[in-house]
Amino acid sequence: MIAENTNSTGLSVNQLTCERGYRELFNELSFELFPGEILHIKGENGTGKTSLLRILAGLALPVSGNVSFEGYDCGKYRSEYNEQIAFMGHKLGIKLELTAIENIQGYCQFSKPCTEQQILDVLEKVGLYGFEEMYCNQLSAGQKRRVAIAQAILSKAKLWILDEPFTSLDVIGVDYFLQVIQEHVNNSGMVLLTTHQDVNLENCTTRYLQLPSGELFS
Amino acid sequence: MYNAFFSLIKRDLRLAFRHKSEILNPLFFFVIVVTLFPLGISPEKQTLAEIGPGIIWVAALLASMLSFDSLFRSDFDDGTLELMLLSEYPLSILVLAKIIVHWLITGFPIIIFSPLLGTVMFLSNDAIETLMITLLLGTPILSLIGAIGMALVVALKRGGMLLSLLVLPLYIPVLIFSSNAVGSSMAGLSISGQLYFLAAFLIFCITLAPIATSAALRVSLE
Repeated sequence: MIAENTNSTGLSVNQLTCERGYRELFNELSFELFPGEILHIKGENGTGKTSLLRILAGLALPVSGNVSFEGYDCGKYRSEYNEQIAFMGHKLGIKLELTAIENIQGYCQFSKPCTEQQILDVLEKVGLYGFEEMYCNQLSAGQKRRVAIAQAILSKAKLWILDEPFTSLDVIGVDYFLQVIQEHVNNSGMVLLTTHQDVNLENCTTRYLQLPSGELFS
Repeated sequence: MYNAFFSLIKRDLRLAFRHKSEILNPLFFFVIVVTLFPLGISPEKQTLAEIGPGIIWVAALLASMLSFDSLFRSDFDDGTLELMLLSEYPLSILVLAKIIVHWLITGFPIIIFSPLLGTVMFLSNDAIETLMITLLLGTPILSLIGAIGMALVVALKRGGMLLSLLVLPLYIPVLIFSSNAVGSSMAGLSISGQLYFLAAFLIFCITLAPIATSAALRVSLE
């Protein structure tokens, strides 16, 4: 890869405009995200939070503007960019007919290969000890969410893009996930998330992006 | 990359075997449709041998149409398709793995059952052999072309009808050359021309269909 801009180390969003059905969601949105930071995207329902995350993950295209990661244009270097991100959307990508382990093994084959022992360790960490061999259609919504969290941890991606990650998690689950996020950020990871809950993490730089205005504050 | 390819095949086969109806439904449909014709038209040997190749092939086309919902629909519904799009491996390779699985669970059983149905239709031994060869060359084409159509309609709630309109016209060359080959071999004529065409069409589809399918998936998921 040829460096286009070697100064940038994180995610850089440039003049992004998004429309949905002829309605403009946000206009010329620009911001940057550096390693060790959390960006919490705020906004009312229908202001384009999910659309923004889908554009940043490369699943949708903006009307104009571009996204670059570590100085490289994400559209051009799609597979290199995909290697660096973990995306958790409203749909978790979990097969109900497979067990938790089989699901994660399948996911790992799409991203980073991992051993069965690693998977078992992470499943224990996310509180699914004893549920490894259970089919996912027997798991609760919160437990499925935990399987998805295990996938994000195992992806070893630098940038996590999380769309409403705390949905259907219990209080302990939310606390645990916040701890996971903190660990990731402290290891110079980056997190982009939307949630209607308050995210208060010590020792982490959390910034906020308000949609649709695009205003940034800390 | 090969690891991702083979493990996706393994995972999808495992899913298919946990959902046996996905394998059995198209197969039952195929067998029943073919056996209805002798009852409906005439059980006479000469009539059946004449229309047999066409009927078996049309039934195979319809059976494969029935099964396309299993190709991307459940992956779309549960979000696996998004994860596939976000994989670092080329999407067309992953798509090819899914198409191969689709062929293994729908096309392959049809080939296995075809000698039985050929016998029901009073086809000669040579013709049954040709029927199997044309199915072997033709059913992968059906899976490959159908995948493009399915990728285009996967985001629509009721895409089934649209899928048939998109895909069935593209099946026509396969149908013509295959049933013609079986007919020719009944008449003792050479069938190499038809088989060469089918083989060329298959290679054309293997090369280009995964690319077209992945482009269609990206559009559908936007």
